[in-house]
Amino acid sequence: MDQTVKLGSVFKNGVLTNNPTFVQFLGMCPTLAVTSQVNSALGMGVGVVFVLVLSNLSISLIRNYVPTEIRIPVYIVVIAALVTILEMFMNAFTPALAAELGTFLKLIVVNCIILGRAEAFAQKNGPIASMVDGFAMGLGFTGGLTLLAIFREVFGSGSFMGNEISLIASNNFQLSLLTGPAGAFLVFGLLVAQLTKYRQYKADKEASQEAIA
Amino acid sequence: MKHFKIIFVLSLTVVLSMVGVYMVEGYTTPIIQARLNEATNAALLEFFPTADEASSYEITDQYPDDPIITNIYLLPVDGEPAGVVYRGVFAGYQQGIEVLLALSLDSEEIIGITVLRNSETAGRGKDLLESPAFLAQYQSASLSTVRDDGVDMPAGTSAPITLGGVNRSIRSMLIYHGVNFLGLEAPVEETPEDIKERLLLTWFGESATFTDIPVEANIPVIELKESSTGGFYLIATFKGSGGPSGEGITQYMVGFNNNTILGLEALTIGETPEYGGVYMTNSDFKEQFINVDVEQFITNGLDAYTGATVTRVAFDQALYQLLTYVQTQLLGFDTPTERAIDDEVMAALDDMFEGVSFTNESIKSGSIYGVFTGRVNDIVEAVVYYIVHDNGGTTSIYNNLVNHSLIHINPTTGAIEELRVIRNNSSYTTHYPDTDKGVELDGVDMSFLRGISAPGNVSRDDFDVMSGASTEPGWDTMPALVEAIDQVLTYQQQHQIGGS
Repeated sequence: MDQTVKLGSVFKNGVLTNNPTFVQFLGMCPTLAVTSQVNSALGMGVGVVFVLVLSNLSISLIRNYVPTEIRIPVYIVVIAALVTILEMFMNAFTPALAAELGTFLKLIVVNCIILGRAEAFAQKNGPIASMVDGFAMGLGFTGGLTLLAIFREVFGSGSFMGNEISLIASNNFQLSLLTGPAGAFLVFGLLVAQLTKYRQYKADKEASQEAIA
Repeated sequence: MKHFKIIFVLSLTVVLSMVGVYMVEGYTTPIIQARLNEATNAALLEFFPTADEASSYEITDQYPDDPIITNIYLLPVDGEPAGVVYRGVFAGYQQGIEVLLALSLDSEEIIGITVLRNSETAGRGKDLLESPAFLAQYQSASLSTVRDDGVDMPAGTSAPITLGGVNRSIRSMLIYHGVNFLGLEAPVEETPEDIKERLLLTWFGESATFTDIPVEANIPVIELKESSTGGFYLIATFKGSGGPSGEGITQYMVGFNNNTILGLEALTIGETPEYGGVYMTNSDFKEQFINVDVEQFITNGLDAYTGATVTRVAFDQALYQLLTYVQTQLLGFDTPTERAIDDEVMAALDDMFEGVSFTNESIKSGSIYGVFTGRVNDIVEAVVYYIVHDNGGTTSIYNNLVNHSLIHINPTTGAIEELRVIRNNSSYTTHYPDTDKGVELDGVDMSFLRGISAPGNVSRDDFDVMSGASTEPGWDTMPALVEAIDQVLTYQQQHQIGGS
């Protein structure tokens, strides 16, 4: 691959077609762990976007100089440095969010999406396309996390971004199960089922239109 | 050439990454520090609301050698120093638990504690450090209590390494404060010899002299001595987790006066300091042994404790073995198990022979543990053998390797009248005879034994035939029971108990 890739399709691929959360099922650990609150999910998402964009950019820039045998160690060093830098920035400017994300912030280093995109895209494409891919994948991941977090926070805690939703909270309509790990799996499973059903419906519709044509 | 390129690229990547991280750290550290300073100033006034903020100052020339303390703040109220706040960085499971500890200058009172930041594991140390119940233990607590015993793990949290690190660091701060601001003496760290000397003095007095008692059991006792003032002590060892290397041995010392435990303390700790080490040096641990009955301890075991499970379970079993040895071999008492069995035997005799009074011939021969003769108007009405035989049970501290039964012998004919199982400790509870291990004898019809008077006339297969079922080879209970029956019949033939 090279710079001839269409940036629009790269973007659409990352955000929708190959959404890392709901289609590729990548980064499941933070997906389930930090989505009890929308703020945490957004924070983690932004962090992953930061690391993904910069790691894809860095790896794309050095890809022609790194011997194949050591590409994975090199990528890991680059990603680890970027995650450390991200953590330092978050500790300095968003300490509450850094504390909230805790260990999962450090675990971005081993997030499959980061190394996956480095290996699958950045090492084969130019810097611009790689940045777009990183941004799109990060955005797709953030979207997935946020969607999950909205369901879990609203129906589990009766709040949205920390603000109480009186209709739910005052009537004790919260399902506290949703805030725990089991609730995360439950909501995730329901969302995946709905999205898969929609994609299947769309594919069937396209197939029938092609048959008519 | 290729190897050179590999080394060069990898090295360059590492160096460039380090430079990037170093530069960002240089940029963010002052920001983080400034924020922590703000939080510190707010916390200082929270600890001492009436302090004159403008006059609060930091001591910079009296820092202890201890690297834990990073800052010491003196807080004056109306121009007079009222309190001291220590800032320090502790090591728990991770580095960097930054803490403020506020102490009074007038008394040995701890004002409070604030955790400025921590990077402990969520669900473990992080939850502990943010637990109100944990922090509340410091408020208005006594300096010497917290210094010597630390604070406890609140219910619902489990982070022994974090707690151990915090307790050690706080102790260091409190020792410094006591020595430098309150004129207290630093506590002397006791050597094992010091602990032993202190315990001997406490338990037996100054005038006591000690003589060796031989240890006649396969238990890990390395010293057993009798006191001239009464009582005795022993030093024993056990291994739980064995500490970080897995090879550590813990030595502990126990004092006794008759059937009372005078106390128990560890002399050397071979367990992991943050887990078993904390457990065995905690004052709650020591207090449970002071002036308690040996039997009470054998029956109840150690107090429940959160954490250090490996150490606690191993020590509980070692102590059970030790105390059972002390009770039976040194004090000459029956174990609670033996006494319980005695009660069950008497209850069974009452049930089998209403109105008959029994006397026990204390006979021990093979599986025979006693012979009871029941008399009515001085005439022997029944002879009952109490037998204890193997059952193939699993090893346990509760002595369930044997079954207990009674065999009723007709004193006139010398033949079996009845076999009654008193306590079936077989390891499996599946019903006789479809098992290859222990058996549940309770439901088996043993009436076929009635009338047998000569040894050698009962076999394992008889139990199968009589119950109409088949057995598998290799089981342990029945051969032992058959052998015990033969022993009873042989003994009865030879001794004619009851006149037969």
